[in-house]
Amino acid sequence: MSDTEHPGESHHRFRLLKGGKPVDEKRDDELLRAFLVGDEEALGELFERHQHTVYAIVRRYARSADDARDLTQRAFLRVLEAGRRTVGRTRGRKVIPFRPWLLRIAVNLGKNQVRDAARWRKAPLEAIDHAHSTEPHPADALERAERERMVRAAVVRLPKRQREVLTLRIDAELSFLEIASVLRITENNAKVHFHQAAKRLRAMVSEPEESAS
Amino acid sequence: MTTCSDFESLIRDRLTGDLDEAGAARLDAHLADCPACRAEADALADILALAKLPPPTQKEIQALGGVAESALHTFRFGERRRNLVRGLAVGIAVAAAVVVMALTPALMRGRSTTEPSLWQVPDLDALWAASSVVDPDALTENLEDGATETDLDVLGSGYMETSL
Repeated sequence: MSDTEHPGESHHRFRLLKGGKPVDEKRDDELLRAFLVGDEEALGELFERHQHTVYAIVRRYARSADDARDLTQRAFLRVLEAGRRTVGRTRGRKVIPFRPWLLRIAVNLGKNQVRDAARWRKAPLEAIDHAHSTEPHPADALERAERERMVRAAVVRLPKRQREVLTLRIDAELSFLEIASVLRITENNAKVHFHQAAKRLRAMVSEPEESAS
Repeated sequence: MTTCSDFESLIRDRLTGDLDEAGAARLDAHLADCPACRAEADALADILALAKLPPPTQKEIQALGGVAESALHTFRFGERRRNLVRGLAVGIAVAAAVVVMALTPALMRGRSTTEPSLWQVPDLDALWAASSVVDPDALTENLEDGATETDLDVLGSGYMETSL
């Protein structure tokens, strides 16, 4: 397909990449307090609100779907423990900011999971590729699958901060403000890292193609 | 006159979702006329779409359904274990306090029977005999027996090597 055939398509693709839904953090705090005084339904709601975001974050770092599920559970347990301790220490006056803590813990758990660089190469690309490989691939789909594999492998080779910002944006669809809060950087810094990551990825993927031609 | 490099920042802003309506209109107008910039913008958008992980499978979503319950179970188990350990620690401390309180009087009584109940007057003669202090009476006797002053010097002052 030539670039001139569908000039509007790039705009459409850009729109798809917009992320970052606003989250009612006050509601999170209320739910956490409620759970810590015994309301188990509050925990169900907290999971419902955040488990898919946490799963999207840790999935990039996990070796398998079970691994990602386990990391999700551990992230929640750690933040609940932190909440229990804070509420205990302050006699219920204070409660931790639930979502920023949860997402930060999820990122840290993921990073711990792949501290060994060798693990990065195995995770999670193979597991996810296998999960999606049951459908028959026409030729163009095979080509796209191969490009996806190359790009995801290139993501692994990005500098750490660029990789973190990129994956929080495209996998978890966090806003740059939220990414900044999770990684403790400025919002502008997060945007710069994101743009650099995209440019570097493009360079990394196009290099072999250009050298081949 | 605007050049392609002027639109780089607009492409970046669109990627990060920061492009306002006026900027978007300017960029779209430029992209419609500039294949190079369109290719650049498409390539960046394409690379990000390829980098994104595929959505979770149905199996993954189903597995995620049980996480809340499992986490609740683990959290409650941890709470029960902590309460048990705390209860045990308190129980042990209380038991230790009771044991100490119960044994203290008996221990005190046992200790008092071994100590002297009254002040005993020391046997001064025995203490004197045990010491090496020179007996002045014996010294006088020696002088009377014809001891010289030199002998007295040898005997010394008599206030040495007292073992008391």
